[in-house]
Amino acid sequence: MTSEPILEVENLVTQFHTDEGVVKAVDGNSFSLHKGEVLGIVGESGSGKSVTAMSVMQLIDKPGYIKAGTVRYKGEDLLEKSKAEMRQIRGNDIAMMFQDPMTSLNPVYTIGSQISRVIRKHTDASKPEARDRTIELLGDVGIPEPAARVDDYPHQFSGGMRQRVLLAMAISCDPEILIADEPTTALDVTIEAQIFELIDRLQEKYGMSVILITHDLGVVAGSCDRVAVVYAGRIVERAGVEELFESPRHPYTRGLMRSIPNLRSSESRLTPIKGQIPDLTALPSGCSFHPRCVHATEECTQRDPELRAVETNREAACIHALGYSNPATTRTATDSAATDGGVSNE
Amino acid sequence: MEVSQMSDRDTIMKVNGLTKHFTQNDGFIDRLFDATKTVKAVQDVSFEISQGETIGLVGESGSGKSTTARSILQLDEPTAGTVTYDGTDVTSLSAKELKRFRKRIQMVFQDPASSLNRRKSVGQIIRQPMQIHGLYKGERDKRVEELMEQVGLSPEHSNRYPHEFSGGQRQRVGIARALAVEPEFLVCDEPVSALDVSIQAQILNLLKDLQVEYDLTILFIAHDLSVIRHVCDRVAVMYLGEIVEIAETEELFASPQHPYTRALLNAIPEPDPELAQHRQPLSGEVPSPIDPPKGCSFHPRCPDATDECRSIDPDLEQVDGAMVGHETACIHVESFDSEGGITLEAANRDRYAPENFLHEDGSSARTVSETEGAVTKTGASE
Repeated sequence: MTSEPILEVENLVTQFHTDEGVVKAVDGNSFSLHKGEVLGIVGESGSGKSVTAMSVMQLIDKPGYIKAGTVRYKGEDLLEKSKAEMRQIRGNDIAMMFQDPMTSLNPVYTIGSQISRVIRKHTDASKPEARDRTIELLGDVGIPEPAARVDDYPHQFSGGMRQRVLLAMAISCDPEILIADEPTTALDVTIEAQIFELIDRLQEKYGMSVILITHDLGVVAGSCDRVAVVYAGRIVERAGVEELFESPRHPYTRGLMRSIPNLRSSESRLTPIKGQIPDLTALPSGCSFHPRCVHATEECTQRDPELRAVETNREAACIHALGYSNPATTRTATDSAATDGGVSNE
Repeated sequence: MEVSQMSDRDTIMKVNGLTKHFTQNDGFIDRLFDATKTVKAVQDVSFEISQGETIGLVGESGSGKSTTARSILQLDEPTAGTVTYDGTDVTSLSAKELKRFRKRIQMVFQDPASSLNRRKSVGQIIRQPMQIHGLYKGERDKRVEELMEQVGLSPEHSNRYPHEFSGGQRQRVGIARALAVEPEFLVCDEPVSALDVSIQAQILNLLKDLQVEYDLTILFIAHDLSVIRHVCDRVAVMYLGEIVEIAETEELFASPQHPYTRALLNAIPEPDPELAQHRQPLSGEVPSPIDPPKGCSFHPRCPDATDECRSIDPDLEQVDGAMVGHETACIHVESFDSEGGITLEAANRDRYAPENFLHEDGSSARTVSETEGAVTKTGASE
């Protein structure tokens, strides 16, 4: 992961014009994706995690629009590309896999014809070649008897199998980046585990980088290398997966982790985050999380904190996070000793 | 949960041999070719529920957990079997008697968006069950206010419509509606699975509080085992329309006996990168309930399956050496094996507590104890 980033998103702003006002779905987010890594974008509903992915792919439709920012892929800004150029990039370079396999597959075409069409659109493969490649891909994603099932329709597959088909379609043109938007949310846990194992295996085989969008911290822990936590359109924390779970530095991340019912604890009372997820058209002043935050002070109602390094390779957007007001470069990454006592060495 | 506690309590509900089959022959073509298919949604399910306990039904989609609940409430008429509630067989009730029975048992649904009438204000929604059952005449407005307060909504909002509320608040409305007629028994069908994590915990805590206040017995249906663990006293694990294991929560999680329960526990993505490394996915998929496998219905996916499993359909039986009431349906479980479950890690969660936040001030002094019981300092955590 020391290589150059393959994708760099900077200050991305995506908004939607609605009757209730302007929804700032993505509000100045920056992140990068390195070759071969899995970046998790985790957040609750309305946090803007899906809109982030759609913005990278430029699949934002009216009343939404990308207002500002750059999306640099291998050094070129995708936001400057023409529609035709983007069509080439989607699928060939960056592929996307959606949550609901039933609505992302066309029910009136066989799955074989849907995958073949993608292959023929992006390569100069002949029909029989595309079909052979499709069968090979279906085998790759673990569809039993791919040669027989290639002519089946989507409704003849189970939910898990349809998600495998989508994965086959996504990797059909050997993309550099796979964006998976809640790929297993509609699936049962035992099937979910199978799909993630498959994504892992394919990522290795095809050398892909993956952006995984999810609301499930368990999925993040199991599959990601680095994580961006989003709240109300902003990235509030960014860290390596181990560091994040060891000691989350933003109060929202901490609240989220604390509110999940833990399998390894038998306490009957849970600890929720108080209050509601804010309305994106009427965000609270200052830090958007302050009305729900246990550490909030007067200052938090005024000051809107930017994402800033609080430690080497760790960023948080909280004025109360240790290291926020000091330049982080002077700090070493081995501060984790402070986590067991909660009292830092300051 | 002591063993004795179970026998101390009175059994309030007895489900015996509950079976629900759906026939698929409603299409013209199907009838023409006499292609009747039977979906065996629930197959011979028996269990008892004690007064005041929370029992969980857990399973993947198609396991029959919701159908079991609907059949108990007579929302779906069972194909066979009986459901006895407080001494009365509810499967034989007349329509009028059934209405009276339903006052005692209410339901909270999964999707608060589609289970609330969009054209009615939340006040009207909560009032409706009282009107239907002819209760609280003259004091309904007061009762609505009281209920809204109890579920954490401000009574001034009773004129608002469901779309003006967030998902979590809508679920609170659904709960207030269920409690309006002061039921004894609550059936909660995936009450939090449509909600965000930070909101889920609020609703689960609310249900806990209300259970004490109303002295409720709860049948809690969920696919999420971590939720089940926090809410339920006992758990029944369902697979393809059958209960494969039933036990007290602690024992089920610590010492699951059925290979399916083990696999299910193993498949849960835990929010811990170290533990996540050890997930071993179960192979295969849930077979169709139209044509379930012969013998044990889990055998095609079971890592321990033998030839016998293909022919013998195992009954739910008490596990030798386990707590009384720990039953499983697997011919290979001969005696209790305490290993193989989830071990508790007591200190694990303290690291996310507000007092352990790495604060700029270097101390936890600024922690504001506003969340419900969030900042109870536990001293030494181990």
